[in-house]
Amino acid sequence: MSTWVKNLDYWIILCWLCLAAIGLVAIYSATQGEAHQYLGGSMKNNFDRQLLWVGVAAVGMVIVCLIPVRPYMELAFVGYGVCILLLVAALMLGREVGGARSWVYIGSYGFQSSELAKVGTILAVARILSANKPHRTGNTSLIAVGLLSLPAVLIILQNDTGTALTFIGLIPVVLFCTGTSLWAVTLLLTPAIVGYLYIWYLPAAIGFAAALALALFFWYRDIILAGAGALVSGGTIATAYFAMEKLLQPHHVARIHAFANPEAEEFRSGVGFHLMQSKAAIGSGGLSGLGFMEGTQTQGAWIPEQSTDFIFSVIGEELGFLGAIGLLTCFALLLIRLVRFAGRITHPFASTVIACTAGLILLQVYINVGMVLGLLPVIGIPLPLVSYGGSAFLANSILLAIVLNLCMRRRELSLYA
Amino acid sequence: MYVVLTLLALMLLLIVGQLAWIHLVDGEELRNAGLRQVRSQIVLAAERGAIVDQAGRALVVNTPRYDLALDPMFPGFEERRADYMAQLAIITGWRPSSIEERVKRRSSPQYVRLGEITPAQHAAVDTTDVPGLIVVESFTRQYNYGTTAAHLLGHVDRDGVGQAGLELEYDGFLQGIPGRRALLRDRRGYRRVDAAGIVVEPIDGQTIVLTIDLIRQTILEEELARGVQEARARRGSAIAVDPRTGAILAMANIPSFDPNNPLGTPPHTWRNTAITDRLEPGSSFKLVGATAAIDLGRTSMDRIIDTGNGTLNIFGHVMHDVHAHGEIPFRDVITMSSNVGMAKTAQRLSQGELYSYARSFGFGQKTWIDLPGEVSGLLKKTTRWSKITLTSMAIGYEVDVTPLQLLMAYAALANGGLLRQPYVVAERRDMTGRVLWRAADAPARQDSVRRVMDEATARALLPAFTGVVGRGTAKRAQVRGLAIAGKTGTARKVIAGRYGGGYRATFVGFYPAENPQVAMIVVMDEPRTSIYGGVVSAPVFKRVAERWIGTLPQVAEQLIAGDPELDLADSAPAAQTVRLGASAPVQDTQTMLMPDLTGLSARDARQVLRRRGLSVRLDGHGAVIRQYPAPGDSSKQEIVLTLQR
Repeated sequence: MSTWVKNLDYWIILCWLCLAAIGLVAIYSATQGEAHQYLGGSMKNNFDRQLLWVGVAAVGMVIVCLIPVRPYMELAFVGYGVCILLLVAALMLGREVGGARSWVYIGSYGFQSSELAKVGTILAVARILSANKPHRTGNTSLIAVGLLSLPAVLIILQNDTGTALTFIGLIPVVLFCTGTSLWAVTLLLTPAIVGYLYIWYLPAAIGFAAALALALFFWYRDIILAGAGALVSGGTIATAYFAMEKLLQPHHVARIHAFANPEAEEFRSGVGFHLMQSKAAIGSGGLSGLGFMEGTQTQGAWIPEQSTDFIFSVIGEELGFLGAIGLLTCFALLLIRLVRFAGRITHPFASTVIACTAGLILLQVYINVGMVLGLLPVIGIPLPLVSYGGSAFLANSILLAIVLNLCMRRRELSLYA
Repeated sequence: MYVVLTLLALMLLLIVGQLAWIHLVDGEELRNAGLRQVRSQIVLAAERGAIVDQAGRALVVNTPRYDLALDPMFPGFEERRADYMAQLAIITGWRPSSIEERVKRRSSPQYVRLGEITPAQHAAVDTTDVPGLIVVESFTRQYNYGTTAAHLLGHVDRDGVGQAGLELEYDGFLQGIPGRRALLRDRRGYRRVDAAGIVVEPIDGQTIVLTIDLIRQTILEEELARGVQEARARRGSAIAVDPRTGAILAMANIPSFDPNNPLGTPPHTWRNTAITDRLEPGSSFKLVGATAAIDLGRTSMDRIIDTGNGTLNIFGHVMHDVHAHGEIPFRDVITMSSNVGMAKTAQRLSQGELYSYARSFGFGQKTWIDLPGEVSGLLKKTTRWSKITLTSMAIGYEVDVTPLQLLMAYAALANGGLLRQPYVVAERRDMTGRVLWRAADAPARQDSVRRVMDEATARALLPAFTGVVGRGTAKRAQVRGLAIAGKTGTARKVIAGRYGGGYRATFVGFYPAENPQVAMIVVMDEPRTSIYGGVVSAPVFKRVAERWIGTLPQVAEQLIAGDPELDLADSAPAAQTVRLGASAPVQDTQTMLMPDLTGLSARDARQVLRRRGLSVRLDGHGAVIRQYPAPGDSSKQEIVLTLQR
């Protein structure tokens, strides 16, 4: 026991505490100040509920840390099965909340099955990849991808594309963990990146394609690889062009354009509204912010979803540039710790879990902050540990607790090799 | 591995870069965009200026008006809705069902106007715990004397914007400049006061001081109404002016309307016919031909003119006199109003000469009185004259004039030959009572003051016009001891381009003849007891002149000087016995006078005093039960209000 405690990583705990605290402060300001009276129904109580969930998560983390590592490995597939069942159950029986059918209710307590599935899926993927380390083949990688894709598909069916995207985003992370070469991962990602750039700004897509081909050529000195890069990106552009110009109806094209360019004048009152408000809020903050409970945009409840997906705007307005940088520093510290552990711990299960956790958090932070700042399209992904959302907070906390647990007991891990 | 980390770090850099960009570079612009949608302001209404008569009596004031509105979406309202509705019904005295109906049929989800409430109900609303109530304070225009001077004052629309009369003409001065207070607004449109925001105090509208005197105006209206009734005329107009300055002393039309409720009477009653109606003046226009003939030396007052048997054939058109006068001097042509004599005299003038004198008297042009809707009448150019126009116009046909134009022409005769610009507003004062503008100091319009005739001509003409009242067609205008000069006019009305059965009967005159202080015109439209101005209009002139003596000290002095035996007991008290309109003034606009504050809540009392430029420090609560100084007294250094809960 004493060695475990000695091995406990206080940096991760500190980061968790900081992020949870910032989140609570921001949620309090976004829901308990002037804005309180303008919020609809249940949103008024978001702070109390988040406080409760933080407590629940803290207890949960302690419990997770007290359980030895072995059951996580052995029960990983069972847990995965349960998660899939829950996803299906939510899809069949669940109530629709905010357009997504991802909630499972036990009595009156509901939780988001897709958030819980993150934990189960990461454990199962880590288990698969740890099982056959010496004889790892392309097969295991494929199974791992399959394990990630199944919940992704179910979640897309639940109509929660944002969350599904985090699962899909984990695929390159997992592939990279399995030792798949970088160029293959890059080529896999290319269509998505080029496609998005195409919608956003055609020359950017072409520039990216050229840069990719050149980079591949100069890095690997392989003309075929470079050609493949050019072919994939070029093919994507061609396909996208064909789809946009020939296949799709004009209103579909318009919607796609709105997705990529929400700030364009014609989308301001629709898709772009979120972004405009968010940027106005952040811009109001200035260097040091307007102060806690003082933000004009926040307190007027101008920012949509200001206690959940757009919590970063609240922080940006009330705590300013310095506050936002502080928050990002917390995330950076957390991720640096995770990446360091992922590299240092040799056990494949542990390193995969840690890498996937890091990847998951990184992905969510990038997408969320990118969205709030107008760098990325508006996709409903909360800021991990900061945004309101009990299930998500619990899932992220549990993942961090498992990481803590694995680091704490890293000496024992060799036993399970 | 390092490639991946580098790429991730680059992305982080991108995010931080964008963050810095938004915060620090675009910040200003975005902040402003945000503030634009957040900031809003309430307008602090400026109180519309009052209109007072020349003695400072408030003719038009504002009374505070409270409208009760409700935000049914206010947090906490819905939970105890039935209870609150019942409370509202008790406070306002409206049926709960009708309140419910209004709430149900509201067009905006967060605002519904329930109705007007009294100040007492306002106090009750302040203490009630019903959430979401909003009291909107505004002012309504109150015309203290009802129909008195209605056509002069005009009226305002529901938003307090002048629609007619002085309210329209001086709207820009009466309006004032609204202030504003910054508010913060949220997405749903709720607003709250921005403590750090700017407050711009409203500047109240200017007070307008008229040349009109309430008592004289009331007398004129009473006598005009009586005259119209006695003559069974369709309508009547009367104007009085000070011929020395052009200051209008009174102006009235029958029928009239109540500016407090203009929609209560048909729109034609709103018309100030004294300046908007054109009429053929008839004999009263003989002033123009006579002036031209005398001024140009074509005739003298004593020249004998043969009017024969009272008929004259001019290019096939036969002209008649009412009676045959035979050979009479020119002065009697005017006194007896001989058409034939006047036509014969006019034949000594050229067309251009008659035209230029008519023009010089101001016919065919506006008088530029400061009232809206004035028409310029019609004076044909000589190129459009027929062979008979010269003689027709000399006796007041083929020319359209307004009663005011005719009056101003006689005022020119009265004051020795100067055409004046008539005006109604003597002064404009700001909310503290400082005089901003004074008509007496203002340079009159260049083309409105001019010499129409030599003073000698005016002096020569005067006996003929005093003769009209003394022994001519207007004997009924005689006032004992008072020398009145004037002229009657009777003209057939043109209806749809033809002379119909109706007549307009006019008497226009001035007094005292030697030193005129009042010029007055009385016009009766379609009188039925008689068609002659000397019969239906002159008596109105006479009665007004008699009753006005008490209000004109100089006239009274002259009267007593001229006839020491004259007993003024009859006319002097006129000022005290005058019936002053329908309702008594409710509010003094003069800052010097204390308003009655009893019964008002402390807050309202403070509001009232603030409106008068007095700052008030409040200790205590409740309603005012005693005040010092008493209502109507001039306010002292110290004001003591006794409050009781």
